[in-house]
Amino acid sequence: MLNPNLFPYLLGLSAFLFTVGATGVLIRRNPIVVFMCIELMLNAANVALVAYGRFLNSEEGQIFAFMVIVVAAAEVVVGLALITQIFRLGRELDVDDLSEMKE
Amino acid sequence: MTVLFAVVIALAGVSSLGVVLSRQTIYSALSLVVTVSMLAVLFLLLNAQFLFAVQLIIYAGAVMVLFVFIVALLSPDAEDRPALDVRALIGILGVIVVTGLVFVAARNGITYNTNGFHATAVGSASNPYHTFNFPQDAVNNAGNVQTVAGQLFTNYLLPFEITSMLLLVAAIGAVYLTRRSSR
Amino acid sequence: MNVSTASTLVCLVLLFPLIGAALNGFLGPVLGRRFVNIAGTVSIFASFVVSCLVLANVAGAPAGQGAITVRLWDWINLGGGTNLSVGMDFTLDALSALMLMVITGVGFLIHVYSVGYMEHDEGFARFFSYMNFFIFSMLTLVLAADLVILIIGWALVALSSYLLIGFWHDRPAAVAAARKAFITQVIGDVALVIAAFLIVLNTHTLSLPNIFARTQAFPAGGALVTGVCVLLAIGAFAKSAQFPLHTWLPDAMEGPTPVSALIHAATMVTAGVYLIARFHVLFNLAPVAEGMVACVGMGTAVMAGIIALSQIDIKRVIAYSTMSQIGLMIYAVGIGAYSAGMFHFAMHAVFKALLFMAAGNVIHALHDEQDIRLMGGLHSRMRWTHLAFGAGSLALGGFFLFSGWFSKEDLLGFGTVSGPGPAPWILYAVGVGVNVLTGLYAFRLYFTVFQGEPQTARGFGVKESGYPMLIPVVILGALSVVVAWPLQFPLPNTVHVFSDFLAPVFAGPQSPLLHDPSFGLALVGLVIGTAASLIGIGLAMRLWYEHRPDPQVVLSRLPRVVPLLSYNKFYFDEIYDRALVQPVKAVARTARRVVEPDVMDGWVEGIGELLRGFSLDLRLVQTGLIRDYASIFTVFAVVLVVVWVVIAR
Repeated sequence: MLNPNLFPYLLGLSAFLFTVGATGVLIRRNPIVVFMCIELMLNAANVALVAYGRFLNSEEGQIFAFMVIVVAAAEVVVGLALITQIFRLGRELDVDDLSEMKE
Repeated sequence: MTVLFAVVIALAGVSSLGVVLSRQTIYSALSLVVTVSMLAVLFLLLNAQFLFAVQLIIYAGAVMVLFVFIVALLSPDAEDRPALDVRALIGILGVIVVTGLVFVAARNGITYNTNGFHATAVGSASNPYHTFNFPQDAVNNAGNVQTVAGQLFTNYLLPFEITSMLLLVAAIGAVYLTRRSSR
Repeated sequence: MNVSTASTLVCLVLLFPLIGAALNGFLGPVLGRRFVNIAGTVSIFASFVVSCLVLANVAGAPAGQGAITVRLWDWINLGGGTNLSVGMDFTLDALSALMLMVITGVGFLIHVYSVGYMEHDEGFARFFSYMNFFIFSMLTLVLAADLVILIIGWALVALSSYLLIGFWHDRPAAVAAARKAFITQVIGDVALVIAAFLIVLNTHTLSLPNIFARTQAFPAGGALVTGVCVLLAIGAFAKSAQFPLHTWLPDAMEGPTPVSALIHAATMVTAGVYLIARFHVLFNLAPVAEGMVACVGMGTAVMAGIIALSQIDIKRVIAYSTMSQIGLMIYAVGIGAYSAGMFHFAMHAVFKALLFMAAGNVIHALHDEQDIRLMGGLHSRMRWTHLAFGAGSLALGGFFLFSGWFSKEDLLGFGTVSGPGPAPWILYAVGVGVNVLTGLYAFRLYFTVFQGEPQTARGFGVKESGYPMLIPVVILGALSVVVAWPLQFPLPNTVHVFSDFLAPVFAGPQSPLLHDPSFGLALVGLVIGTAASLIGIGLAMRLWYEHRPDPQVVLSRLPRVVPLLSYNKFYFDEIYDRALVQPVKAVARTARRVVEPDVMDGWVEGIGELLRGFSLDLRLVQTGLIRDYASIFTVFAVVLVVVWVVIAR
């Protein structure tokens, strides 16, 4: 019932979302937006997982995607907590400013 | 059916561009909400009903709400012009190259083959997709939620429990990290 | 003699000095002077007893069975069917028995002498340890029947001489002398090793008996044999202080007198003579090399004699005398008269050790005075030493019926019949001249030191030496008179116990340079030689007895050139310094100033600088900006995807 020719488009969407998210990480300076782009990349992975699971006739793809969502949630919580603390310390919310890893 | 797919895919793509290209952070957050919702619909169309629900509840409902709250709290009017330098060039190139390549690769059937990597055209006899008969009915006979739950609580019990641990740790960590010092 | 007896004897004779050396070296300082004295002397005495047993066995064996080579154990076995295995091979034959007797006999007396001489020295334990070790090394050298063992003994002897010459190592002169000796001998070592390589290459064996058997097949007079013999001769010259490698011997007098007596009179310096004698099979096949050896020997003999006429240090005179006498021995083995050469070696060991030890007595009595111009009048004050010294000088000068006369005339007698051509006659004439010279310098020394009046206040109060220093001197003095009487008379068909004893060793084809002397010719030679010696002694008496206080006055009457050359040792030290030492030092200076900092350090530091520069540039990647890191990730991820897709095609 499902057109097998659909599969490349699903993978293409996954790739597109992923690379767009990567571009966002590269060009945005607000850490919160960078985080959101990371979430975008995770979702791209989920799309790929579910697509494969669908077309290979296995529910493992969905289970894996489920785990990904859980982990993404946990990561968002911790990351935003960190950003809040940075904000409270009076630092600029700009990833170029937060460059203590220099050299 | 295909039309639905096309619409959903297109909307997801556009809103993802909105996440990256918006000047105001709040618009990026809202674009992400749209993207996530579109993906949920996509999951539904791919017969992953459980995941559709989870995506909407958790992702769109909790994670994105958190994002919006933080944006509102920290920098509601923040303007963040995307920096257009060599990194942007890398990004754009990456988008075009990778998407194109993956699409073409998938079309030619080299993203999955039990016999290893070799290219076969879609529709040819050895193309694995050609032999799919999509017995989603067999899969869904017991219902998607039931199937997933069945696997989750038997074969994948360990990852399941560990992720619950993970959530606990994340919660505690968040609380700890955002403590105001007592001085 | 059977194998087990031979093995036992060899083991014992080598082991006693080694144990003595180890005991004295490690426990000596702890156990005290008395222990060290006893251990040092008893060990050599034990070796002497064993040597007597060896002599008895070799001499008493039925004809043709006197010689035996034993292998104590296999040391290096290369296996695979090659004959190149090194074993602890030792030979007991007449030649080694003779060497054993001399080394351990004279060595023992010198050790006893050292007990007295080193009485007040702090390093007595070290001294006796080194002396015993030297005896061990020398014994290894002369008993060796394997080329490798021979070379090991050769090198250990050089090491021992270095240790002993530089015994008083806080004296810079002694250290320099030890170094000079060692370096000169290394030149000989190199020649010896190259000769060994050539031998092994062509005979495929390291065992001396096998080598001698196989070299008989070499083309006589060919380049190979001549080359090997020349190299062996160079090694011998270095060890025996012959021209041109002779400069180390006078300097070696910086060591204690017992060292001079043992090493630089009786044993080590004769190792060269022994080497040539041992390899007589090869030398007999290379008359050109033999001729060269004979010339060098006689040349050194006369050169050293001239130098000895002007020296004023008592030990140096005796040292040059040694150089001269060894020149005669080298000449003898050069013309193929091996047993004559060894006979002179044995006699010379006796009277030269005696002379050195008596000189040591004099030096000691005069509180370390060595300048003969400050000596004199000792004949009445040190009677026994005077008598022994006189006996030794008469033996050295070749006075009728003293031991030296027998051996020198025997030697020169063969010189009359060496041939072919006129050259050997020239050498013979020079040899007669050496007899004159020997008498001259020996009695110059005697008259200056013992006759006349004391030249310093100290000289009036000298006393004779104590027993340990006196008894060996007296014993050797007596021996230097009588020891030759039963052994050999320098006319054919008279007494020849000695040459008969050594005959089995030197059996086989004789040197082409040697012929049998006829009785008449030998008698004429004997008369000429004796006359020459007596002329020398008489002339010395006339010149130096009458001009007692100043031993230099005679030479100063000759044209300026003669005393200059003589006193300055023919300027060899200066020549070597200019030609060899200074260039090497210049190279070393250049290396230190240029090569080391610029080239070596430059390279090493250059590599370091290169890496530093590299890492400095690489460091700039760490900008600290997350976006930069992310872009690197992205680039590589894209590359990965591209590669995957492309390759998968």
